[in-house]
Amino acid sequence: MKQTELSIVWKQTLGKVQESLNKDACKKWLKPCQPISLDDNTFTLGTPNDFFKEWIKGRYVPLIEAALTDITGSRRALQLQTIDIPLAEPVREDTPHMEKPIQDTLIKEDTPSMGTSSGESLYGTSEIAPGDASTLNPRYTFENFVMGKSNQMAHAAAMGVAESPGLRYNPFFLLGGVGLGKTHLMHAIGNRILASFPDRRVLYVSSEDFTNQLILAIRGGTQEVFRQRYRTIDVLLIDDIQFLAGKEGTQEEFFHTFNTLFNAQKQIIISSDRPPKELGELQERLISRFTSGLTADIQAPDLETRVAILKKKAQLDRLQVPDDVMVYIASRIDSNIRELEGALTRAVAFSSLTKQTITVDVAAEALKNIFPGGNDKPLTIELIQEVVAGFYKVKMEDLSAKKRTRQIAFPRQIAMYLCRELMDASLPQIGQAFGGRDHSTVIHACEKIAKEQEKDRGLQADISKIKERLERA
Amino acid sequence: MKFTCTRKEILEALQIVGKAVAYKPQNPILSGIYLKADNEMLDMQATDYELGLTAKIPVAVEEPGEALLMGRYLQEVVRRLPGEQVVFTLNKEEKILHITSDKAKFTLLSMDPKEFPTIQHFDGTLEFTIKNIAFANTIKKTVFSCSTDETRPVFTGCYLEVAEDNLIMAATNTHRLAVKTDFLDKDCGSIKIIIPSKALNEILHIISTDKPGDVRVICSANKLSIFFENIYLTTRLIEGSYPDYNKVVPASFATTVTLNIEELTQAVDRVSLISRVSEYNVIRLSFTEGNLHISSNNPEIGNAEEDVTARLEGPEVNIAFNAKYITDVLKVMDAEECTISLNQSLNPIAIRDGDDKTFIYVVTPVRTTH
Repeated sequence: MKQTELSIVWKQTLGKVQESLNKDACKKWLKPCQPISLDDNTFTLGTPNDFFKEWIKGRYVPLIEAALTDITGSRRALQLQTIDIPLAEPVREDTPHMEKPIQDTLIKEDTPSMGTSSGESLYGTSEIAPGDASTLNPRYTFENFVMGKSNQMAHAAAMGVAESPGLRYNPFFLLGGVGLGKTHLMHAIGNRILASFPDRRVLYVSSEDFTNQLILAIRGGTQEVFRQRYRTIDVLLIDDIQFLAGKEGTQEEFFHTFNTLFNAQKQIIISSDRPPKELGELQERLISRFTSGLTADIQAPDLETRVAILKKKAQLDRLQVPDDVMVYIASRIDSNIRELEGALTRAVAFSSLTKQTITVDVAAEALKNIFPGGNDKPLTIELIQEVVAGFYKVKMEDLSAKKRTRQIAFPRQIAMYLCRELMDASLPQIGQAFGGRDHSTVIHACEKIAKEQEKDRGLQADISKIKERLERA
Repeated sequence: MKFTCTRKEILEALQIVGKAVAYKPQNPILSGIYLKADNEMLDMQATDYELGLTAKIPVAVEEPGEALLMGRYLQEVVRRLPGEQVVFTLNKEEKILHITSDKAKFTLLSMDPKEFPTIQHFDGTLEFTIKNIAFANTIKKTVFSCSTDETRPVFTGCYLEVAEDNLIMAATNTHRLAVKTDFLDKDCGSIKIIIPSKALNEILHIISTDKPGDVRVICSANKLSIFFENIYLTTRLIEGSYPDYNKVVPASFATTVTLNIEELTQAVDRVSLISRVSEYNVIRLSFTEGNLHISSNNPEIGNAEEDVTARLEGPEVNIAFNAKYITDVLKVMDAEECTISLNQSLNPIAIRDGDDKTFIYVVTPVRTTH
């Protein structure tokens, strides 16, 4: 019998066996086998090694024989024979007895190049020209940054950096949670510097792009070009530095870039969602350098600032929205500015689609899916404090006081735990609300309550009662 | 904004501009098509920051203005409208665009046109004008050889070199190479750039009209743009150094075979029916005096073979190829006959389009055990 027919018979048999055998087993044990011969009485199957042979013998012989009978129409015994099939590269299904063809390469890695074709790549590795603002977003400026109590210091420091780049606060480390305006401030600094010093080379890059460009440079053997790009600039804005955590090679490269620029008194601006000390997986030497300049943090905006942000957005987009609607939206979303602006857009779109004038009710209807829980009163740290204090019959002020007696400390820990669990508030934010406690105190409280709750049914019941009260509040 | 135009005209323009609409944009603004009606003209624009396209058509403007619409829906709606004339009216207060044609009425939500990064013309370092038919031919004969593998970006684009009045375009995916030379009317200076194949395919589509016309090409170190009729296209370039392809074109060949392109195309197409399912798509070519024998086999399907008349000069050769690498180039050739130049069965071969000295295609064979 010809090879072709033989392999067709085997393939059909396999298909049949697969119907009653699980797919993985079939793939693992039977696929690597090769049919050797088929005559009137026997079917010989080649197995990659003795272990395969024994395994198949012990389990699949009757199955295969039955399938074979179905396919060929007559009964044959299955014989197994060990042949040498390299397992690492299982023989391809479609070419059972043919080696893989090789397509030769015409252009090889060592083919000399045509002289550099310069051009800004899709991956951006060319040098930055003086005054080039292509990496900056012109929409992010100081003018449209809404300042409030929560970001006053960061804003003032950013202005300082923009006025005298490289001289005052270097490196400038911007710290803040998701959607609080770190990137906005960074672009604003870049834009302001270019406006006042048009001959400076300003480069904004996210840590991820930095990493990707480095990888491409290494692959293409153009590390020199990469270094040239980063070490000849006047202002480096690097966003979301926490992404470098765990990337040793990139950290190394960044460390040298940092040193070169720093020693040449070039301005470096870094942003992160965690303080330098908490960037655990970053090398010590990097962390210590980050902290050598000024660290400014952006807190979540307070209600007034949030309303101001919405007003600015409405003004920029020329939207007509009554004040009470803005206050309503601002009171419901308290951590993320992107979500805040998204909610406004959504409410406006909803009202224009349904042809209703925008009111608090319309906005509530439009946003009912976005607000967590859907309760009327927004969940705030204050509310949690109030409810917990009421539940344990302690004074609300005591929760933020210095007292550490068990009667106060325990409810305080529960309140902290709930703030963390229900609101996903940041540790420093919670610590602040509880009388300026350290974030590690908050961690301790959360861990302790989580642990005790597992053992203590009474505590579990208490917590669920408090949660109920919060929902009703 | 309010204007009236014919459905056919705006649809054609939208279909061209729509090619630059970003499908998974980082910024929702980029999924839009920007419209601006003014001075009896409608300007349509779209960009995904890599590629930007604008098209202008004459319309009857009743009230000038601008709007930004979801690109996908605008195209689909216009494509399906029943009437010949279409009226577009923007309700500025509600930011809604009304489209009416015959008895059909659509209202589409719009985005803020002020946020759209309108496409700016730029001054290049080099500029040339070329006939659309010649430029289309140059692109057509090279761009298909580009790679689609994004890990090595330079190979996903075509290399363009202008040196005085010579224009050379080359493309390779490292296994095959296509080079086409053309001449410009005058000395235009010199530049070496790599143009993304996506942009070139769009350019090819735009300038492939039967009507002869001029294409104005403007290049800078990082951008390229073209003007053709009512269309303006601009694209970013790929950065990197392009390999010196001259080094891989064999200096001499032992055997030269002349074949009829039509016959060869059909024979290869038929024989590769059998090999096509496998990743390597291997066909074997056996060149003998007066004859080319093409064969393929697939242990799971069967065999195929066919003979084609060939004029052979030099020693006989047996060689194997990925059939796609042969059919791809045969498709873009214009002459009646092609010449295949070979050395031995493991050396690259060259294929030429008749006696056209300005085009060469080099491809490596596959090594098989048979």
